[in-house]
Amino acid sequence: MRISLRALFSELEEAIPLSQALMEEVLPQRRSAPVVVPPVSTQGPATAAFPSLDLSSVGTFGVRIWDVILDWSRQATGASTAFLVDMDGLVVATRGPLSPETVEFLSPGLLTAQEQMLQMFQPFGDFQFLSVQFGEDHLCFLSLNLPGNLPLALGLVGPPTVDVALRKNIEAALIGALGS
Amino acid sequence: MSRRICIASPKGGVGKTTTSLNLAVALAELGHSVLLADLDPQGGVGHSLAKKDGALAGLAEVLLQNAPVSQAVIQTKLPGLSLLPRGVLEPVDMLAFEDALARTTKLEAVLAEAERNQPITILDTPSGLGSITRKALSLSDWLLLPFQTESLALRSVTQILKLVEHIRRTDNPKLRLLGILPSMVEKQKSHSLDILETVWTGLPGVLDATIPRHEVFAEASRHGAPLAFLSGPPSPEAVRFKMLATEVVGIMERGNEKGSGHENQPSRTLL
Repeated sequence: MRISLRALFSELEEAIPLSQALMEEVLPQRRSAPVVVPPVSTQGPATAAFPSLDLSSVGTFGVRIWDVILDWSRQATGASTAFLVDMDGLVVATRGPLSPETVEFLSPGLLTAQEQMLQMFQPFGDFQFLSVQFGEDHLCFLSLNLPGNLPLALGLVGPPTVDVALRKNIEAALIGALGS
Repeated sequence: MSRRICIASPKGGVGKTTTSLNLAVALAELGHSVLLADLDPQGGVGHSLAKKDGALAGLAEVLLQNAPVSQAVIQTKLPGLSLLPRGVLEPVDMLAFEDALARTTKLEAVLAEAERNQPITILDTPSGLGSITRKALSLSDWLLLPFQTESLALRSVTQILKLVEHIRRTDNPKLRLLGILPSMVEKQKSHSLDILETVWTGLPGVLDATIPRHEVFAEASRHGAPLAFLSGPPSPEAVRFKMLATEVVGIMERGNEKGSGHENQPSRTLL
């Protein structure tokens, strides 16, 4: 059951000015809110075979927006599990059968590996993504440059279907849906 | 850097002792010298380290038997981290212990001596806004408020912030809010996420770091060790405490810059 955010805010009416006053010296340089996803329109990516990403049902803001994006990523790539990781290696969201604990365990290592690959392959051109055999599946791990200075990495576990074109389609669709 | 961080919450079971212990370890592992003082009469820090009740001498001996402070402070195997445990406390002495902590000036003197070489002190307090918590706040520079992501806990935030504001006016004007730490976050539960969204978007001072509800905390408690000391691959939760440590150090440094008058540093040349 979704609880009323309005009711929750009313609990905080007195706390907000108190907290503001108690942190006045350190607060201005700190984040006061996470990245706000603006209202979105449905902007499908380039090809007809590529599913469109519709975030309109999620509202203008919410952590669950990532679940919708991940489900869309699974649909678009055929992956069974999709997960998003921030640049500290912490999991933002995960969808699919791979357990959250496994995703939490893999993420910091994947980021480190990607960092090393980036350095190794810098002289040879743009490094696109990491792909490794993972049991019966492949695990692809790609950095996304999303709007709002939001560096995230997307992990996909499934058949080895991700290529450079698909990677670009994913990024374009996300940028289109999340706004610039 | 300002030195005393009081970890307090009106609500019990929100992870105060877990936060105190693992934050102290994370700060020490980042190279800071830290004293962790257990002001909770229940002796939560000792229990978290799998020590039987009263296995470690500490504050109780100093306050009630005039033992030397040096005998009560334990240098741990982790360089930079010292403990000032609750000590051996018989149930009949509980009231005397609370009185000595909260209604005398002894605690201030003990802390001053115990933290001589420790730039950062973490004070773990009992649940509630009773006399020990008030005393700890009156002696602290910062409050770190663990906040369980459930709707009833929202009221407790207002309660403790009102108390902090009162203590600033009456006893301790240097006391500031270090941050509100979302704890026991359950990303799989919409209720928990709703609360997290609400405080992140609506309440100033909520930290970026969050502490999830996870069985690894119970496992750490069973082993009598901080998360970072469990065997096997590093736990993501231990990484979260490193992030928390980095975040709070940054806030304290910014707070000190603002308070020290160094914010308008003149331009300089190296050569």
